[in-house]
Amino acid sequence: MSSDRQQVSGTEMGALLFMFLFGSSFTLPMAAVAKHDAWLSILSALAAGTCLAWLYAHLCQSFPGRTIIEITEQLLGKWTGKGIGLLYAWYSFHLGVLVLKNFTVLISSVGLTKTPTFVSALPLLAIMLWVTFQGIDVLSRCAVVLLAFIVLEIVVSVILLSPDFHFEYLLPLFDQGWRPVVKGALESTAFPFGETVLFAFVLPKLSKHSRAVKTTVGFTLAAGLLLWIGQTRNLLVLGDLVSNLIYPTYSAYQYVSIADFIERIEPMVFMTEVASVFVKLSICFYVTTLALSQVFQTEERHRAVYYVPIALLILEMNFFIYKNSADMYQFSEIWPYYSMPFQILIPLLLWVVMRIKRRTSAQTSDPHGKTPDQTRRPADGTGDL
Amino acid sequence: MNRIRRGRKKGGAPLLDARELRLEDDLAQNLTEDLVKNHALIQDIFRNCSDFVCHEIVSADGRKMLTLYIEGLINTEQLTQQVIGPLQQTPLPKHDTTADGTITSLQESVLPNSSVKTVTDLTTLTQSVLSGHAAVLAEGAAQGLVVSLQGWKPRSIEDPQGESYIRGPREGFTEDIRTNAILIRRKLQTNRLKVESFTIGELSNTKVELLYVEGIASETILAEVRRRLSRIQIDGIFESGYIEELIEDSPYTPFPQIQNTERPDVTAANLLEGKVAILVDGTPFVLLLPYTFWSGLQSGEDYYERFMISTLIRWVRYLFLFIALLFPSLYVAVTTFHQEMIPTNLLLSISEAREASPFPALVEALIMEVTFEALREAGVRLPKQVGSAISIVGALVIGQAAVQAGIVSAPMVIIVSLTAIASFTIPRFNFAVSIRILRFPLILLAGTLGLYGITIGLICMLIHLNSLRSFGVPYLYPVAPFSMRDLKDVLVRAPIWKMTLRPHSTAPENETRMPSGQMPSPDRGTKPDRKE
Repeated sequence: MSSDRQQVSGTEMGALLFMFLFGSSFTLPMAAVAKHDAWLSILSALAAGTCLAWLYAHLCQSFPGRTIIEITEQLLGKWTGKGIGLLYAWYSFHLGVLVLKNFTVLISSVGLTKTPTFVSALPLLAIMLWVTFQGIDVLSRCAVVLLAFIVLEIVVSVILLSPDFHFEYLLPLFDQGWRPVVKGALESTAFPFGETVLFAFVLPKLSKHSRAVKTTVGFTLAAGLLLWIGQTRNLLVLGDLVSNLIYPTYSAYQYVSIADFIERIEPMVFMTEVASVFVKLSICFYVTTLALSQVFQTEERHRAVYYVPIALLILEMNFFIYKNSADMYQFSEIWPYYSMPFQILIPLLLWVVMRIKRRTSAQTSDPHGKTPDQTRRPADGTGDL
Repeated sequence: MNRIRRGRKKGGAPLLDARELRLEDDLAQNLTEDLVKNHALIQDIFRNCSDFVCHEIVSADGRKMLTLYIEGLINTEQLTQQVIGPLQQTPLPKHDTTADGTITSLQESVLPNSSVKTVTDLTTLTQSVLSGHAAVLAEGAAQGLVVSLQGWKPRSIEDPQGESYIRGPREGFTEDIRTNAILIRRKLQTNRLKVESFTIGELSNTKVELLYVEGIASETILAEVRRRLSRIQIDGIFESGYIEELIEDSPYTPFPQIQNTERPDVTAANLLEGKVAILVDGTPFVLLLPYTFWSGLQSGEDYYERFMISTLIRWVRYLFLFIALLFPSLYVAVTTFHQEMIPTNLLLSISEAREASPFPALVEALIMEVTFEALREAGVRLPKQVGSAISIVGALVIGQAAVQAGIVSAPMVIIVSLTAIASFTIPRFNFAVSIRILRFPLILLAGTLGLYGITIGLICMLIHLNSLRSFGVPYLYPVAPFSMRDLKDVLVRAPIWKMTLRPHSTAPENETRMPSGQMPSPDRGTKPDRKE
């Protein structure tokens, strides 16, 4: 009965991934440099993002129940693993701070303008801490419920905004050349698709390891398509204006006006944003504490010692990470290059090393004719039952 | 000494003082062949019990005998007819006059009542006398006989007050556990309906029965329920609420984790879904477990009406659940922080109405909601004759008079009334109460942080609900964890012929309820199935 504790089913993992991809990117513009070609950029980013998701999931599926730190330790030695673990701990921590920062800026600029950042950040951090204490399974089940509301909201918003759609806004194609489109694709690959590298820490909790790749790729595609629908909706309503706005979704929702009764529903964006940011922040936080505890070999039951200090650090960093929102906007251009090693280089390196090791061990035929790949299969199979 | 230590609870006073200890020593003894000594012991056990009757008779062959019973607890007429009469008139068979033989032959040939049992120790004897048996002791026999002659009349079976249906059986449970078990037995006439008996409460000795259908109910859940029931140590149990609080998973939550019902049909249907029922003597409320959030929004009548109607009614309930929970807080948040969301015309009328009110929306909402809760509580507690007074006064407090006096605004009155109506659409009372309580923190959050506060509050609720389990079943099952198959009884009420499988959460071992393909149609059975 208690075997499902701390285990996450396929649907729940998918919901986590979905919400994670929606966190922040639901309100922020994606591929703003591409202007009205953003929808092309996002589509190509989706393709790239799916490849990345396949890479992460494939790594995790080849080493069932192990995080990227343990995989590195096995492939490249203990100390490399610890170094990479620390890097990922920092990366997820930084991402968490950025997520919180984006959110508090959104609140102070369009929601509660007079509320101090401290007050608006605290409730979110409190529920993040609470859900982390409850466990990743509780978070994943929350994500399932929240996901239903997000999908519903996007569908409803597309219907409500359809009178304001201008399909000519999508054209002409490539009139600024292909460079901005590629740049936009690169940006949106790093944010949000590449950030799913953090799931290399969460996927080991999946109850059916053998389905890791299918689940991850499937849900990344679905979430990406919905994101694309959301961003294209903004584009259809606002046109080139999208690239100049900080919160295009928020602005697009202001156009809703049905029978002079349903209008100005943009605070709804805000509610969805809270929900998705909650999931994204909690995952960043979970990964940070998990990475730290694996690097320093903290026992599972003692992991809670990291919770409160890290949460306070996130809150503190939130105050001085950017001087102002222009600074934040500036950093979003650096983010893809900064993320590259974490999102692409390290996982790719691990994958290549894994392929080489497996090939060599298969060639140096061991007496029982078992490759490491095959020895792991039984454990994989039992997880399937 | 040993017994005193055993009786002590951690750090508390000893459970038994010296006098009770002597009594326990009495009870620990066995019956002897000396009738006088037995008599003295029993008199000591029942000293100062004026309702205890010890009646001395002489049997047909001149042997001294004692009949013991509690006055009123047994049927005296039956006692005379079935016990005293035969004892005085029928002589024992000649061949068997030894001490133990006397008892055996009394049981076999003299007493016609079928429920006669022999007892040898005083504890069982006392217990039997206290639970509505008459005891017979004979001279020279170290055994006694107890005859079940239950004499009090249980309340007749009536339409359950708390759960009355428009369509459905008009019978409800009573306070008598035997009647209740029989009501269920009559619905499920199978030997697979098992009844396990427990006695809980050191002084109340309350009979508690565990009912389940063997082969359907999950063995893991059953073992857990048995374990938790046998763990209970308490002086008395007077309502199933005691049991509920002593065996639930998480005590610190407003949400009920065990369902209670007054209806045998609901109980039987739940037993067939693999749930477990706990009957407690002395209360018409039967416990059903495991329980999920969605059961709180389901009514047994959903299954008696047409499935489309039931589905629509369920949706109305879900909608009104949101209204009951969120309407006042949304009003507070929107009027305080997000005025732009209100359509202009509505905004004008609201602001006009709110002009006279001296309170901010938050305070107004809290005052009105608390007043409503007080009115509701007063209406429940008052005797029926005074009840109408409350509705008159209540209409003044939450109504036109309060608006005219300029104390509250008219929209607030409408909000509170709608919330009240909404909370009464929730079929299960204890569930509705938990929703009503959670309204207050949400109003406070809405008044301080607006929609952000409400969202935070809702996510808090979601985390809490997701961390709850009822006997191993996640509280939000089948939504989270997600199960498409079991959603058919949550999102909609699927037609009976579509619900061919039992819920996976409660009946994992035996899932098939009926063969599929039973959709009614005039051609069914005459034509070969399209699929095959």
